[in-house]
Amino acid sequence: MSQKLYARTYLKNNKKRVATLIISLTLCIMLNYLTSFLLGISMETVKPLSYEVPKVMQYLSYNDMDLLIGEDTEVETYDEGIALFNAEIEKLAQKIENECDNVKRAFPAQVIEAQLRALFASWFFEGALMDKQYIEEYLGFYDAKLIEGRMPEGDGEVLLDSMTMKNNGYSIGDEIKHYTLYKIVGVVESDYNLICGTPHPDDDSAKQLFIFSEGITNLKNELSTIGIKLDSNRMYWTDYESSTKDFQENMVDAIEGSVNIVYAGIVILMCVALCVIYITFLRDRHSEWCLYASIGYSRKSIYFSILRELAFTFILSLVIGTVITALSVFLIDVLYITPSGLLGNYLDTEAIKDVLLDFIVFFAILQIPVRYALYRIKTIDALGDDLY
Amino acid sequence: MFEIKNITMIYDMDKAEKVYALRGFDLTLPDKGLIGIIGPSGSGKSTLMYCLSTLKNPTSGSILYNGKEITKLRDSERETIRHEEFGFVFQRHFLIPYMSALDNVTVAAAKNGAQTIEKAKKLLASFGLGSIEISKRPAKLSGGQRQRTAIARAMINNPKVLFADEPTAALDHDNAFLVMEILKEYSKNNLVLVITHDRSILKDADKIIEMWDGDISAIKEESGI
Repeated sequence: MSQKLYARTYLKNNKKRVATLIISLTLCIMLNYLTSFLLGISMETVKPLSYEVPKVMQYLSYNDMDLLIGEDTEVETYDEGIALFNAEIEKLAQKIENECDNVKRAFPAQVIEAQLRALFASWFFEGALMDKQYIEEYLGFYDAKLIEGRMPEGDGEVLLDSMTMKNNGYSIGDEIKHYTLYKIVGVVESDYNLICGTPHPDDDSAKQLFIFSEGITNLKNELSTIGIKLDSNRMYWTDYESSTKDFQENMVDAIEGSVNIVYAGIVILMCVALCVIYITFLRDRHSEWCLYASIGYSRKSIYFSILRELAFTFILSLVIGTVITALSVFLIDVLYITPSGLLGNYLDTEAIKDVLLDFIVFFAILQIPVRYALYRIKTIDALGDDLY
Repeated sequence: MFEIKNITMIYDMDKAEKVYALRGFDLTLPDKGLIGIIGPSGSGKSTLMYCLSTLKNPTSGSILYNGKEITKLRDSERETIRHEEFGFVFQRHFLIPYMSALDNVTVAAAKNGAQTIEKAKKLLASFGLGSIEISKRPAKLSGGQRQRTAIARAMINNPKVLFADEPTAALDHDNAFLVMEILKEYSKNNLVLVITHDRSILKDADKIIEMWDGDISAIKEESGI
């Protein structure tokens, strides 16, 4: 038999039904990819703070001044304590700078924090408050350039990177509260999120250490080589190892868990909806296939015509779904991500793999009603009222 | 063309009370001509047609088609015969609702391509369906037009045997007459088997086989009983 049943005839004459399937599958692509994309914005936005910044800068903070100064140290006032503490930090910075080969610079500086807010998370990061003469040097380690405003001159003035500015909705002249108010006087362009500036006289907090280095992934191990022991009960520090671990535990695991639950829900829902729709369509065509069987078409040729119809529907859905999803991602980027100073993973290969896998699973699952419909095909006895 | 020997068809084989649709008779059918099979409901005429057209296998007996035993054929061979050598006109047209009249005809073609489409158009035109009608779906056609479309579908492969089951049952007198004229014309070179209750449409038949209770009660040739 050289004639085969064309899928085109059904597709051409049943546009509404085909469109229903295509819309369902397209929605599936969109929902799956956009769920990963939107939930991933939080991760992508704060990821550089954990993966990129610690490669350049390690932060070391002492929780307890008494422990650092020593139990036998006696001070009369808080200011005296701070002064002693700061003097110890200065010495420590000097020691680290002189004795650690990988350390380029260790800044003793007061700390200011800025926040990054993403869709489902927020993340704080530290910046240095130091004498204005060191700010240029500090910015140099971040490869940051002033693009707007001016460098800090007076007390309590800060610079922020442009993404953090957008993310927080700040403008030059706005004030950031950290113990006291700091005035934003300039914006820098940098691959890293950063904040730095000059100390405020009302802020009497102690200095901490900002260490700029090359190749230090574990600060504790590095400093132990020069006899400085870091104790997590007394100190807090960030380096590549601790930051990435922290990110994995507090961000990736939490968000990926949510993504997987939402994703599985969508896939199951879409799969059920798709099966229900498709079974309805198959049921309506029972008599048609019985007619084909009566006039000499084999089940195999009927099956292949159904497969061709399905394959066309799936491929077209994939193309349309990809285009619409790409447009949606573009719109989300233009309307939300960029103006909010966020980051997104625009080409999420894992999500693409998942969507393709879903399609294969859907295609495979739809074979069950198809095979059942084929099994039910009979010849003349089964021709029903749904044919004219 | 057909040599039927001692054909029996029993429904409900596994039940105590068996239903005999065909009770074991012999019959020979020629290569061409219009053969009418007439009888009341339940007389076995449709079952006979299904057995001859390979849609059903008889319980016992033999059916030789051009010397080949068709009851012993594999499913794929039966499908090929049905597709390439037999044509079917059903009582209720059984046109596919979403296809145009033209598509309903070409869907049954053994070969595809422009030639088949042209042939289908010519067939439909010869049955009085113009270019407007052939692009209409069955719902937009009259009963007569639907049945003529169904006949065109049955004839698209120039079948050697055309089986017509009550082809005029749903038609008015004029359309019934027209359909029978088409079948009569086709029977000049091929075998046309028409199953009917209505004796009046078989006035031009070359042979009329009367069935009763699963058996042949009479065979009327053109020359008389």
